[in-house]
Amino acid sequence: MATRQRSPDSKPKLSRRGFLGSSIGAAAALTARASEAQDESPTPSEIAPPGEAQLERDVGPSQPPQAVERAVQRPGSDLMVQVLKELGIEYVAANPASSFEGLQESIVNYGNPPNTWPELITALHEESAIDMAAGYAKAEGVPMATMLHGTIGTQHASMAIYQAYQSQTPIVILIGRDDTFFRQEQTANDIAGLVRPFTKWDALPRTLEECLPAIQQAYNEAITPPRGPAVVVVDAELQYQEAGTLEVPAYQMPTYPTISEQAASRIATALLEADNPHLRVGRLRTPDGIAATIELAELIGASVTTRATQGPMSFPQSHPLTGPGASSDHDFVLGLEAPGRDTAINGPGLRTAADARDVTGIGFGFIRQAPDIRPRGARPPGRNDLVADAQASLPLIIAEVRAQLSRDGQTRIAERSQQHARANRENRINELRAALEARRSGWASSPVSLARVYAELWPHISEEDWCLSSPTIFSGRHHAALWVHDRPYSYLGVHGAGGIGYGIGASAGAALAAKHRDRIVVNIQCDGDLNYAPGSLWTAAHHELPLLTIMHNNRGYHQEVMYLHYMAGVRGRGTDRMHIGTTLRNPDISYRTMADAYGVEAEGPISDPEELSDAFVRGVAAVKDGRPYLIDVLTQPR
Amino acid sequence: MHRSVTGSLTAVVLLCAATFASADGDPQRGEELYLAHGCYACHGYDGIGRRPLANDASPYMADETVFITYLRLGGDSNPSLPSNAMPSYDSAVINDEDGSDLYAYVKTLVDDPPELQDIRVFTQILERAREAGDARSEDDRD
Repeated sequence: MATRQRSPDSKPKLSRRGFLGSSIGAAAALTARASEAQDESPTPSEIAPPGEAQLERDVGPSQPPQAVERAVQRPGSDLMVQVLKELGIEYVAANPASSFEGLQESIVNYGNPPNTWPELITALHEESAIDMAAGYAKAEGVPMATMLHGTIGTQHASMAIYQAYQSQTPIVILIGRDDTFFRQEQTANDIAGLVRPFTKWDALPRTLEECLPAIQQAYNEAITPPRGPAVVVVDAELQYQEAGTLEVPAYQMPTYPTISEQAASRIATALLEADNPHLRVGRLRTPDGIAATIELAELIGASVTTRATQGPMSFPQSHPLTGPGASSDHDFVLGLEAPGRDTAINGPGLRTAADARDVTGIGFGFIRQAPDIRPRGARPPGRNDLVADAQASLPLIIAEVRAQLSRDGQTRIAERSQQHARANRENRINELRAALEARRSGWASSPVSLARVYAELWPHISEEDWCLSSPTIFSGRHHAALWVHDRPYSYLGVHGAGGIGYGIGASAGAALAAKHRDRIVVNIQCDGDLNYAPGSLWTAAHHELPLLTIMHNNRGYHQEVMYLHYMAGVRGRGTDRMHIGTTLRNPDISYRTMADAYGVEAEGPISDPEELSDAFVRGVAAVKDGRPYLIDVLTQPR
Repeated sequence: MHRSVTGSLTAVVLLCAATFASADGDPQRGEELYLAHGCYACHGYDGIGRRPLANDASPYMADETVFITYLRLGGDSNPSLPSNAMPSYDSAVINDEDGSDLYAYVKTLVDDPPELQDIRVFTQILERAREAGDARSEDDRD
């Protein structure tokens, strides 16, 4: 028993609980005496705390219990967290809320050690939480989870969910629902309906027995093509309730749609009979898919086109077979999650899920059934296109290639591979030299040219394990020409629906993935984008994320500046007022101060390009030490 | 198709150019107009943007008359899509004197970057790429 400590010459020291208890006792005594001597009532400050004798008399030898028998010994939310643990969910990002407080308490307290796989990540906005999950999933190929609060948190998050859906990014979303909460505006019969047209799958389990497999299924739905966010609405009651002897159900891996063995055989034959086969590789699901693609390319000696400079999970850019090869006259072109002239294997797209999900007929662009509306650059499906998951199909093709490969064929392929490697290497050096020549222009410009930002940064990160997390379409995409994208997460690509406000959240998510993997994350951050939800800077500081943010600070929404110029020109009304509503000046925003407010080390604004390199040295050193860092650079508009 | 449209426009501009009188513009006022009309948005603060003007990079810098004619005729009159293309400017917006001043200013813009071999970071990038390629060649021989 904990005894009260008492110094020889002082009054008893009471804990807050003891103080409150004695106050209640004193108040009761006061009330009893009040009727007897109202005019002699002492003021509260005159009431002495109970003495030792009185305590002995009132409480006696009884001792406070060490533990209280709880009504719930094994909360349902503990089992939900156990499900997340067994799924390998590394993080759960959330802005705290009452509807999932049971689940949150389990995440931070359940397990040994607690708050690990998953670890709770504090997001300052629900949209930031989803963007973090998107950045993480793009980098790792697997989802993390988020928690959202009822109707209001879900609506805050909805734009980011829409964006993740459009970019087929897997996320497990747990929405807390509490129908007994006094704020009835924050609950609904069908909360998932708010985001149903742009989520892959959702469930509203009515019992804990239904809830646990629902979380498992949400995970499986998220990771199978077409991948995307999947939702489980988790009633608060299920989180609170006693689980009793209920066990977590065994997890069943999902099955991925593959091509048939016959199709695999035909493709293998075509690849081996071709004199100059070529692979076009898009975005695979996980690093295992990239490894399988490398294996196939090397087996058949095919040159490869990669999308590694455009997004994650593609073929390494500097692999000897990457490039047009010794000859661009390819006689069999196979697409793997990419268009292929002769055959392409592409996982089912969003449209396969859209009809069932978009029951209100919103008809989102690029998802709706509109045969003449295709993403820019896409082509109609070829007659030999196969709807299947390329990554899951690759082992079948590889096995067939191995079975059909002759010794003569091996010799021919080895010679071809060497020719490709030589040609690709020469091609790469020539392209790099041309790219550098083109980027000499404006080298000394102030504000700083974006080409120089990318060029100056590259030597400082090229020897590191790095990830470029932010979309670069507004900053010139100079990394594509100057940097080497060899890892699954080298570049995480654009924001799926072009929605602004994504960069810093996704970058924090990529940095979550990087944190325990000796990786650093680079975020070339547009100024307009940062101002949507800068709170992720705090998340980066709080969770000590290795995130280097370099501001592309052109003090405006530059794309809109240009559009508005054009419109004014069309109408013949001049362009001297086009800064109205499109620029971020007067006052200029201090991103250094903003970062400082969120606890992120920062410097700038830098307008002299000669100062860049030293700033990058400091920035890279900081993030390698687990301290996020922001460098504000005043840049040319584009 | 784009090339043919550009070619046609160039011909029109050059034909019309003969009707304009040439004048000496005021580059200082031209700079003010350049900034006020947001020309830097596409052409950069120093004429070295995505659509470069420095060093007479644009064919429409051939002479002042060509330049002003292009300001008048450069843009579409009935666009169907948002565009980053060059706006057009009626004389009520940018008159001939303004155009002359703008031209005078743009003519002062110079881009004189170092040679590739004199940019340390560029030589580093190129050298590392060569070394990486050589390393792979060694791997190939193994």
